[in-house]
Amino acid sequence: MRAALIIAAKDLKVELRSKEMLSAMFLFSLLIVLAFRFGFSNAVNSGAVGLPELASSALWICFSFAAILGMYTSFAKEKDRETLDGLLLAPVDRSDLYLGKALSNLIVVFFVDLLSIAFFALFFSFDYGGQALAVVALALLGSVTLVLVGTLVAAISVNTRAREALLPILLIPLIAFSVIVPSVTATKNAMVGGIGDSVQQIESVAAFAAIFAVLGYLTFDFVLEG
Amino acid sequence: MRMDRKKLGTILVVVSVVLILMTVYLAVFFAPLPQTGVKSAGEILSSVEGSKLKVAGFVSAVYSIHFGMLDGPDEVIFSLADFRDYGRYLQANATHSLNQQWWTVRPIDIKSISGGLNPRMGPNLGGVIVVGANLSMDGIVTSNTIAPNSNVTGFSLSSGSGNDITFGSVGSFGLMTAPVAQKIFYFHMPSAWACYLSFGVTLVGSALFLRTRDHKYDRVAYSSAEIGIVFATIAITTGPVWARQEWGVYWRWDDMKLVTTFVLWLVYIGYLSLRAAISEPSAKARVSAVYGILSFITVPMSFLSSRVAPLLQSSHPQVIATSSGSLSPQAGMTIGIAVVAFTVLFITMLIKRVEIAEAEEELEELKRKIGDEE
Amino acid sequence: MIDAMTVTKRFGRRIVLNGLDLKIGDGEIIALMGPNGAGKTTLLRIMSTLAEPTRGDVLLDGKSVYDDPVISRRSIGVVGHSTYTYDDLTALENLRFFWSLYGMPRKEFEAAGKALLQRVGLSHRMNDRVAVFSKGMRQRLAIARAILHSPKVLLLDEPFSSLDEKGNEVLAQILAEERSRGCSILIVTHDVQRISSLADRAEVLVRGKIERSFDRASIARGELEAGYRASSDGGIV
Repeated sequence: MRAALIIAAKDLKVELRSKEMLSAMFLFSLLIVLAFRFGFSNAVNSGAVGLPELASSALWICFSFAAILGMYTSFAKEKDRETLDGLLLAPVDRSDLYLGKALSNLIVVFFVDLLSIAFFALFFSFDYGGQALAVVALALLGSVTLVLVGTLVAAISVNTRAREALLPILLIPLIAFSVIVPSVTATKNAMVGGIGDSVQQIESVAAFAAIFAVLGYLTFDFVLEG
Repeated sequence: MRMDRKKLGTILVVVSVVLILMTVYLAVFFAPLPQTGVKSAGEILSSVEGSKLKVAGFVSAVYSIHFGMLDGPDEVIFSLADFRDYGRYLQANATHSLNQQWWTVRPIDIKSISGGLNPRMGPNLGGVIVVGANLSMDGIVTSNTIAPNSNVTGFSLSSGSGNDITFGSVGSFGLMTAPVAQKIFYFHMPSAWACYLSFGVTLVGSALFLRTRDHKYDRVAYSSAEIGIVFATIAITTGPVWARQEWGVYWRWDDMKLVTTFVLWLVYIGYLSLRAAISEPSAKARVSAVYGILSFITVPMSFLSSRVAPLLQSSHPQVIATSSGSLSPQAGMTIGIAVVAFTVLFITMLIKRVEIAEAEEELEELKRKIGDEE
Repeated sequence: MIDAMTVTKRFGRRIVLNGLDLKIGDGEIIALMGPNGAGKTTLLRIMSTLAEPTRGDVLLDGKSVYDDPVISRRSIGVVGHSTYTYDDLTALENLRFFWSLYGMPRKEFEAAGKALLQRVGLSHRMNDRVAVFSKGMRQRLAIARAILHSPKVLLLDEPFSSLDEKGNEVLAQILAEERSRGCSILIVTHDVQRISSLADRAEVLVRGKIERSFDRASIARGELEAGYRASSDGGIV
């Protein structure tokens, strides 16, 4: 656990210096929200699509793709600059490495989630009302699950050719029903009324977080072996 | 030993061909058509109008019922009553003018339904029916029709108390619009079973590979995944053939069973793409074994999706765990043999595919040797 | 002391190492030579616990390194093909990261980190980002990184190639110091001249097996150079 924190701290320090992941994800989430703004402008202006419905879907599409981008980078960078072996040579459990990477990914991903939530409010003149906190909490919960499975799958994909293309192919089907569908529903519920209607969705996302954490913890060892 | 294996393979091929032919025969000539009592919109309206439907609902019967759009001047009053709790399930006695039947309904809270009355859903969509345990109220039947034959396959209710909870009823054998299409069930359900089984074998093979590092388990794992994709494809394509007849549409994106199974298919396609993207054999086996284990979570997701309503809504018919009386003995026997046939077919294909995998690896090895010598 | 016993490594059906034996005593420097594709890097990965052998075992002071690889790694230092250092961190920060990752006492780093950089001749650049370092400077940092936990075993993969003359002197000095500390050292290299003055023994690896071994005396007589050239050409020595 201590090693996980050391690795996460290192990742964040490197990230704060280089801002590689952050700047890419920042622009990416900005552009996705803008794409929704332009793409749905007729639908929104005519009232054919309600803003809460659009917001919940747009935000989760944005969260998911920005997270995929970030998690991909976090391993690809270690692999390409050949620092991964250095971590593997250290007297550290692979599962600590998994937790450390997941933690640093979570912090970056969650930060970008917050930006996206703000962008949406800005570009759609959308008022989260009293529910902003609930939306943020759901983003955090969903991101935990997303990062727990995403870190494992990103580590899988760095072993491959064409890994940029492969990560979404491997990850999106896995997060479709474990994260995206229940989170979109819960977020929409939170926006139109209360988070209270979404107990089942929240439980489901949390349960998948537990499942992915256990699987990642047990199998990460094999993914990074040389 | 080699000879024995070859013999066994031949025997298995013969047995599986015989079993599949037998399934075809039984499904076509032996299994009875589901009972139908209702044909057209007019008929069902006149039969239900004013009658008492002592049921609130549905969820799990082999033949589920869905309702389409309102078509005509049709508001039919009926009431819901008479719920008796029989342990886990509620049993409700439902009566209408055509026949009397028993349905098993599950004690689930009332939830509003998508589909049904929502004009955006398209003209023919049914709704998922989710039903409460303590229902006792008057409702209004709004009748509905389903293209293309304008056959009614069910009702939707709106509560008489004025709020706009919408829920539908009702599963019964008497209300199939397309009984002949139901025959595809004898191939659809066993291939779904075989695909779950294949992916289960992939899971076990992957775990054993990681434990032992013996490549024979890896060969079993990916051979089984490939076969599983074939069976999943059969299940995914036969489903819409039935759905077109019974629901009026080929596919419903709001049905969890359908979409989770589609995702299951995608995940295993991903598994094969992952393998294709790694060239070094032991890394390929190792990394894809981890994904092979991870992928398996989509199997319970797909399998349970029509059961764990209302978290996930589905109107896909359920077979296992519904009331035992839901299949006639002939239908039960047919489906039993179909399941055995598909299982044997799976085993046969797996053995053959693993042999091919071994031969492929041997070929690679020989090619490498030639390369080394040059 | 590290002892690779009948190590076999297969990738699928391809045999990379074939029942190889290699023993490095305390305070010994062994050179591992051989043509490309002979399995040198694979052996190094196996000895450093990055990969496990298909058959055979690697013993560190009599205990298998794979019993508890995490503990074993505390006693193993590696200078690899790449430097394993982060461009966006300074030299000192890099060492601090690995220092804590190896579970070394945090308080001692202030002194030890500087001393390490002093030893490899980087103390004047310790607060510069590695991104601005030359190849040789990075390699020096990599050497400091590999010895920061005073390993019992030091494995080096082509350490001379990216170092200049000065750097090679520094490396030779460090290797001598580590040897006198009792460290078992394995150097994979093609550089016959450099290794001749350092190694106690040279092993030539061909097609996954130690094909020939040269002791100190025969290296001194120049037999290594002749013999190595022959086996690199694929001929049997």
